[in-house]
Amino acid sequence: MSSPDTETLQAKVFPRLYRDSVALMALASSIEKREGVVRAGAVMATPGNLEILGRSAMLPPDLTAAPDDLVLVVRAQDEQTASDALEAATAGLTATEQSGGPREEVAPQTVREGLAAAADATLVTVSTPGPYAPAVVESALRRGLHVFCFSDNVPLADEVRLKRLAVDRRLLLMGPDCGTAILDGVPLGFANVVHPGPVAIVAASGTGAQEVSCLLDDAGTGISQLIGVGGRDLSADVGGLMTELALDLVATDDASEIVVLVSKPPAPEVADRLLARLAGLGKPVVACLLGAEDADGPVVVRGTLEGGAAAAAALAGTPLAIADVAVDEDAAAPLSGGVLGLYTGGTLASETKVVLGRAGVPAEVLDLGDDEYTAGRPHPMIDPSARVDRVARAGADPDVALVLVDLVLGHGASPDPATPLAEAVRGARGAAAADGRELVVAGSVCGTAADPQDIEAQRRILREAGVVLYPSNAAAARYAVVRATGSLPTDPTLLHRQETA
Amino acid sequence: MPSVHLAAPQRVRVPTGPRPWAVARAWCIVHVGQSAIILSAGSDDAAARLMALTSRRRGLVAGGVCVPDDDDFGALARRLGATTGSAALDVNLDAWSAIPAAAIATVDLQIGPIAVRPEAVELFTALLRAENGAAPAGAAMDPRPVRALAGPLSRAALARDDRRIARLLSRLVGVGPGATPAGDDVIVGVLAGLDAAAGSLVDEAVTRVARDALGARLRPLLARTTAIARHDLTAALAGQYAEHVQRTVAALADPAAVPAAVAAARGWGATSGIDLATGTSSALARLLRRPDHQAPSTPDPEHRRSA
Repeated sequence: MSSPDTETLQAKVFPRLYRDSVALMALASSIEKREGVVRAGAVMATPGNLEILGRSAMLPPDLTAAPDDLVLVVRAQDEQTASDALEAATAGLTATEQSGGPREEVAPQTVREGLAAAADATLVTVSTPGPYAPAVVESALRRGLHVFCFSDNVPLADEVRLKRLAVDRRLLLMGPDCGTAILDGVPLGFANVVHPGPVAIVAASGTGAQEVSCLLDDAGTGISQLIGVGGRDLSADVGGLMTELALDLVATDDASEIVVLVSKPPAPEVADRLLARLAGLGKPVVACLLGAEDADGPVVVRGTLEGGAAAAAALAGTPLAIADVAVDEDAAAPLSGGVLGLYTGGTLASETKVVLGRAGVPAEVLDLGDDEYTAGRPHPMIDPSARVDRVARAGADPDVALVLVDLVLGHGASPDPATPLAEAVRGARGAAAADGRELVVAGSVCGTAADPQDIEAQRRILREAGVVLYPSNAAAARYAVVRATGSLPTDPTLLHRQETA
Repeated sequence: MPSVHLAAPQRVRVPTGPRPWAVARAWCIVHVGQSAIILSAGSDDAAARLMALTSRRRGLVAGGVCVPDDDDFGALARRLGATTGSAALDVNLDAWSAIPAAAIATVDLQIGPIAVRPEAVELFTALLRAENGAAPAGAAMDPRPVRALAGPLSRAALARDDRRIARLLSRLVGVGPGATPAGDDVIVGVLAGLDAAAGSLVDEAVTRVARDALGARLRPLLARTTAIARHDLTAALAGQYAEHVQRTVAALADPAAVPAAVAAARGWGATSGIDLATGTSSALARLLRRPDHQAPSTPDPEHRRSA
């Protein structure tokens, strides 16, 4: 540890340099966070401020500056640290100076202000509370901008009206309630860090698209475009307005060689029209329609996310290999209660319902990201606390013997979702054990090796808490079937199969 | 010196008086921000005149030009931002003299009269006390010691205690974090508080004496602060305040508007809004303690005009 006697003080003066106070605050704060820096200041060199710096032993004796000069001072453990900190701070100031316009002040508050700051923008992301979103979306569309609308709780009538407006202008309106998109490699919302590749995904479900894109990444292929359309797009009311436009766009996108459509079960009248459109797309197509019967016609149809990813991976020449759930004595031990699904991803919850439902396993499966649970609070992929409470409660509920969970990684998701979940699992399993019961917790991690959360670390945290992990959500659901019935599902569409092109 | 000719915006808002762009032929770029562009007429002269071109969101400031169309403002910022960091440039605003009169709205930036309500001042003071409970996160220098001088400065000004005023101003002018040091914002806030109370809480003669006493001691110290703070202080001494200051002061006529005003002040720069609001609340709180303070009166709506 250094003492004031061994510390060093360095300063740099920027003559007649003005930066707004928010930028100066951020600069001083970033310098102070550097290892070895004891204290830093970024102030205007007025006589009053120089006097204060002097009183706090932060004024080098030879410093000369005028009131309109900016002075940076750094006290650090050694000369090199101080010098490096000043150099980094100088680079920060210079970057701002050369940016041709400050980026340190308050972010634009309206579409107009955004365009004033970035006239060449082509897309707006909207994440206002639902009731306010339609006005912002309409403002953006009328200015010729594509829209990524993360907001949920948007009235259905507004969605229909705005999507018609977007289609008229050949603009994407991704959402409302659109969780993810990747456009020309740019991630929006909750997107995973996936490799670029030949597969385009059009998705009416956020976590469904994430699961498919992550499984494809794991298989060794990649994504050209991922266009979210919002969970209601394939309803009878919306009629697939945006799905059709997105399909038009990927059909003409040279980088997209294979097209995957991901959706929760669509309205029957919409599904028929959509399948006809897909059959005429001119590219190999996989329709991943949760709960649908598998079919291998002009359009490859799969009823699970895992099945859709496997079919697309096979078309890309990189088959997806997922180990089957082993049916051993431990796995076949009868459960003392029912199955409870606590999901942050809506489509992952739906996929689990499909697997369990077809296997005849009664279960309560909750999508904690549904509007019903998120009005006025963050999505559980951002704030895991809502699920933590429910996991804890499951430990005290004798009717629950197995809890299925998901853990979704990627941009926008919680930086460490595993730790709070693991702590809750430990508590719940401990409470059940104290009551003489076993609580099994199983699940999967939706993510890639390049995601910011470190997928292997997240998996390790969960395993150490006793969570049984599988490489896909469908595989975890199959494990629940095995535990509940003593055998794997008999329905072949629910089994992972090694697909070939 | 090479020049960059700036095209005229479609519409502008300016303070009453001479057109700001007409007071000099050539301007230097001081800063190009997302909501404000600062130009200076002159170079090292401590009395150099500044002009702030501001966006609709920032609002009009004294001696400035507000460009209410975001596209117009964005175009100016991009044009000047691209030159920042390169060789020194003159900014030529000759084309602005052709802005038609119908496209120029003039705004009176003087405060008042406002029917300041004591209960609004009390709420304002209580909310600011809460704001001052902890140092602003990440602030390069804690502004609270200079904010704490707002009350003593107000008291000294109202008592015309020149020696004490001088001593306090020496500890405020040019002191604190920010490009307009916090101490300067506090002083502007005190002056705004005095002007808001004039003819409302107390007789105008009371506040006039106090601001004259402050002005006499403040002017010799202006060289001790930054050009931008000097500009704000000079304007405040002339009774001119930015629109966002006016909105804060106007909230003191209605207790229901006070929480939003404090929230808005929190958003001006890193600490400036709260520094200034603290000055205003201190001045008004001192005035309310005077036995001669009056019941709120209804302001004359004709007094303040915009065109």
